[in-house]
Amino acid sequence: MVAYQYYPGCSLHASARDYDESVRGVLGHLAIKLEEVPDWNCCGATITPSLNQLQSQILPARNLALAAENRGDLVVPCNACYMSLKKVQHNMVKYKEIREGVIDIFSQAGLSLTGMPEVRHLLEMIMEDVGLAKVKEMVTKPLKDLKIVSYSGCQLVRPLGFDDPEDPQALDQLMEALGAKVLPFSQKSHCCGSSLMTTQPELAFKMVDSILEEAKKVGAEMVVVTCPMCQLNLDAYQGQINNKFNRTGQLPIIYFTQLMGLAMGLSKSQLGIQRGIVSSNKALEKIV
Amino acid sequence: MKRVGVFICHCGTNISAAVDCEKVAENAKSFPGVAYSTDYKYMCAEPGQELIKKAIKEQKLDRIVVASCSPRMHEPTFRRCIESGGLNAYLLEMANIREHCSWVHPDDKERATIKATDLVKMAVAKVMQNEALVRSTIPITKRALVIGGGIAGIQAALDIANTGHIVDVVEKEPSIGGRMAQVDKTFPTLDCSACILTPKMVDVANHPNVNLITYSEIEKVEGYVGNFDVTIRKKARSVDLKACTGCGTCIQKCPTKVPSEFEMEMMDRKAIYTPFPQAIPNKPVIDRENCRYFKSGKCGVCQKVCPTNAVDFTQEDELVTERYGAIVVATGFDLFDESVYGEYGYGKYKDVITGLHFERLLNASGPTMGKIKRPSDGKIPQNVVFIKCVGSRDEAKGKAYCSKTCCMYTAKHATLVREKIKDSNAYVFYMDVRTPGKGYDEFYTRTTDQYGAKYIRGRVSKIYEKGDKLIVWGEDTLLGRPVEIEADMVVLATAMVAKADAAKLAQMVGFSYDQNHFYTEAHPKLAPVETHTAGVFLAGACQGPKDIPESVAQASAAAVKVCGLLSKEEMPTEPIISAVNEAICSGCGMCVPVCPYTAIDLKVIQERIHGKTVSRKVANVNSGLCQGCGACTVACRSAALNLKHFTNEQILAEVDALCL
Repeated sequence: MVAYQYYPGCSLHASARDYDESVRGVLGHLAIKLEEVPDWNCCGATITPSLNQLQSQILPARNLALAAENRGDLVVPCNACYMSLKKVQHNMVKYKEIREGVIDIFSQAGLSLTGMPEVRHLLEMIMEDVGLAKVKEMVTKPLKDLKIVSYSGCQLVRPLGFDDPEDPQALDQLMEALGAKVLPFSQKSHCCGSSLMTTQPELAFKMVDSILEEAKKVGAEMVVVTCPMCQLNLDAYQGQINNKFNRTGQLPIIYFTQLMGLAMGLSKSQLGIQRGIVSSNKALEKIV
Repeated sequence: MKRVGVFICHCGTNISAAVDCEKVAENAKSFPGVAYSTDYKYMCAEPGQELIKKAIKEQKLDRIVVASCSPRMHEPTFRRCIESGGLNAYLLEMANIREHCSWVHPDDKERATIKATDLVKMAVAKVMQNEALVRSTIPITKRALVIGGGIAGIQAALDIANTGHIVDVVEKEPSIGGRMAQVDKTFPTLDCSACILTPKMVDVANHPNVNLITYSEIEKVEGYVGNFDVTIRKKARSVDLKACTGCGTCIQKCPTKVPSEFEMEMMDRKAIYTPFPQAIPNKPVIDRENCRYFKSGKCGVCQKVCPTNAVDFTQEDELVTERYGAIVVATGFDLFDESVYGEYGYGKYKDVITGLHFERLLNASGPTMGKIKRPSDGKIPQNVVFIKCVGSRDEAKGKAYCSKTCCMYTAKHATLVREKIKDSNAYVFYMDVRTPGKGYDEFYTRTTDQYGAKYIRGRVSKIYEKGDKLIVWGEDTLLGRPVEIEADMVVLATAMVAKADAAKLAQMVGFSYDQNHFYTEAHPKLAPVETHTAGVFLAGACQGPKDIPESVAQASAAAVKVCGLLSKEEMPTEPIISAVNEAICSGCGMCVPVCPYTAIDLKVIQERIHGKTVSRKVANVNSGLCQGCGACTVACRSAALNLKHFTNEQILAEVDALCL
C-alpha cells in the first residue's frame, strides 16, 4: 500500500467535510494510505501574509517541520494550503533572512527543522502517481453525457503550481478519463475572490458571477473544483448573486474527488455529495 | 644601443584617479633600455602625439611604449604617430593600464600603481625585442555583396552601385522588399510604405551595376577582406526567370491554396506565387512543399497554361561562387514568439494579433482591402486594445532590451484606428512612452491629444474571451486601480528579435554576435557599421532593433565604408603573421589542421647537405590568408613557427620582466 502524509487543512475538517470524505473514500478505494500529519495547524492561507511576512511563514513552516518527521510526500487537497506550503518551502530555500528568521523563531519554541517533505496537491499526486490509465481502469460507471466545466482556480497553478497557469489541463484530462464531457471554459484559473467574500463581498460577487455565468453559457451542468475555498465561494452565494445581477438558474459545485468516487462506483453518501448547498441530484440523475 | 621612450597617459582621470601616473613614469626611467619617460593628460590627443614625435627626434628614441588604454582603439593611432615621427609602426608597444588596471582596481591606488609599473616594465622588455615589420599589399576585388534585400540592403546596394561599383544582392525570399514591404504606413509622416519603398525596389532592380539574386542563400564564405569567395545557393525556382513574362496565368489556375506568409497567414496564396503584387522580380516561384505536382506527381496545370513555357519542374538548386571585396550584412529581424504569454491568448483567440498582422489589415492590398476587420468574423472593431512591450523589456519571459520601434508604430496604429473607424476607442497599455526621434514626440502627442487615443500606464494581466468580446484585465498604475476593457481586438507590440538563423550566418561569414544573436558592431559609438572582421559591414535590424530611417542611415554608412575599401586597387596587409624557420621545421604537418584559415600547407624544398641535394617537406604560410592567430605556433613541436610581433622570445621577455 502506497503511503502519503496528508495535510487536510482547516476547511476539510469543517465546511468542506464532503471533500475530506470523498478524498478518503476514493484513495481508500485506490488502495492509497493517507496518514494525517499529527497536530497540524492552519496554514494561514492568504490572510497572514498581509499582516507580517516572517510570521506568516511560521504557520506553514511548522506543518512542514512536523511532516518532515515522517516519510512520504505531503499531499494537500486545498489550493490555498498547497500554495502557502509551497511558497514557504520556496522562500526557505531562496531567502536566507527568511530561513534564519524561521529557524530563530522555531528554536524559541523548541522546534527544529530537520528537512522538508515534497509538497504536492492531491490532483498532482493522482495525475502523476496514480495516472490516467489506472483511473480509467477503475471506472465502473462512466460519467457519460455529464457536461462539466473544470475550474482549477488560481492557487493550484500559480505562482508555483504544476499545471499551465493560463489554460490548466490536468483537471480536464482527469474528467475526460472519468467519461465526462468537458466543455471549453475561459475561466479555469480565474480567482474566485477567496477571502474577499467576507471583507469585500461586492467585489467577490462580481468575480464569482463572471465564473458562473460563463459556465452556464457554455452549457455546463456542474462546475468541478479542486479547492474548498473555491467550492464555498461558488456554491454558497448563488442566491444572492442571482438577485444582485438578475441571473437565473443554479449550478452545483462538486469536488473532483466526488466525481471520481461516483465513476468508480462509490455511493453518494460515502462521498458527502448530499452536503453541497446547490443540490447536484438533478445533474447526477442520469449517472446514478 | 636601443633607446626606448615611455609615455604614460592619464586618460583624463580614467587612469590617474586610480594610478599615480607621475610615479609610474618616474619608475620607468630605471628600466633597462629606457632613455626617456614622461606622462601626459591625454596622450591620444594632438598635443600628446606631438609630445611623442618631438621626443623621438630630440631624445633620439628608436622604440616607444605607450601606457594607456586597450590597444583595440588606439594602437593604430599611436602606430601612425610614431610612423610620422620616423619610426617603423611595429616598434610600438602598448601597456593597457586602463581596462587592465585603473578600471578594475579603482579603490587601491598604491597597488594599482605597482601593477601599472609592472605592465609598463613588461611592455619595455617586449619592445626591446620588437622588430621592424613591413606591410605587404593584396589586390582588392571590386565587387560588393549585400546579404538581404530589405530596405537596408536595397539602400546599401543603391549607394554602392551609384559610385560605379558592381553589387550583388542576395535575398532569401522570392522577392526583395523585406519587412518594409509588409508595413502599411510609416511614422511620423503617415506616408505609405509601399509608395516610398517600391520605387527604390525598381531602382535597384534596374540599376546597371546591381545584380539581384533572389530566392537564394549564402552557402559558404571563404577568404578575407578584399577577396571573399562566397558560394551562393540559388534555390530552384521552378520558373525560368528569362522566359517568364510575369503574366500571372499560372497563379490564377493553380488549384492549391496555402496561407500566405507575407499576409501573416490571414489570406491564402497559391502554391505557385509571387509574395505580393509589387514583388521584384514580379515572377512566380513554386513552393515545392505544397505544390500538388511535387507532392503527388499529378497536376502540372501551371506548366500547361504558361504561354512561354517558363515553368520547369526539373530545375535544381544551383551553386555559384563569386569573389567579393566587401560584404554588407543586412538580414533584418524576426518577431518574438508571443505564444509564451499564455495570459494574452495569442494563437488561441483569433482577434489577438501582432502589430505586423495589423499592418496587413490596414493595407489596401491586404486581406481586408485596408478596412480594419476582425480576423475571427470580419466585423469592424470598435474597441481596439494595444499592448506594448510584449517580449521586450521583460527578462522573465522575453528579452531584456527595448525594441525601439513599438512606441511609434503603436501610436501610428492608434491614430489609424481613430481615423478609420467612427466612434472607435483605441486603448494603449504602456510601461513608458519612448519617442526620441525627429517629429516622433509630436506624433505621439497628436495621437493622444488630437486623435484621442487612451493611454493607460500599466501591464495587462489577462485576456479572455466572453461571447464575441475579448475581456482585457490590466492595471492603471497612475490611478492605482484595476482596469477592465471589453475589446473587439487586441494588438500586441511584439519584440523584434534576431533572425532564427542569425548565428549560423555570422559563423559562416566569420563575425561576432551578442547574446540575443544580434550582430556586434566593432565599436558601439565609433564603428557602428563595421564588424570585427575586416571587410564585413552591418546595416539595419540585424545589428539591433531599428526603424526605417535608422536602417537607411546605417545602410548608407555601410555603403560608404564599402566604397572606401573598393576605391583602392590594393590594400596593405597586417604583417603580424606566422613565419616558418625552414631550417628547423621537420615537416610533421601538425600545424596544417590546426590553422582555422587554411593558411598553411606543406611545400617541398631542396637543400644541399654534405654535398648532396636533398628534398624535404616544410610548412608554408600563405601570407594572404594568415590572420595571425598564433594557433600554429602552439602546435609546432620544434618551435619552427613563430608569430611575428608575438614571437616566443618576445613573450618570454615579458614574462622574465615580470617574474625575474
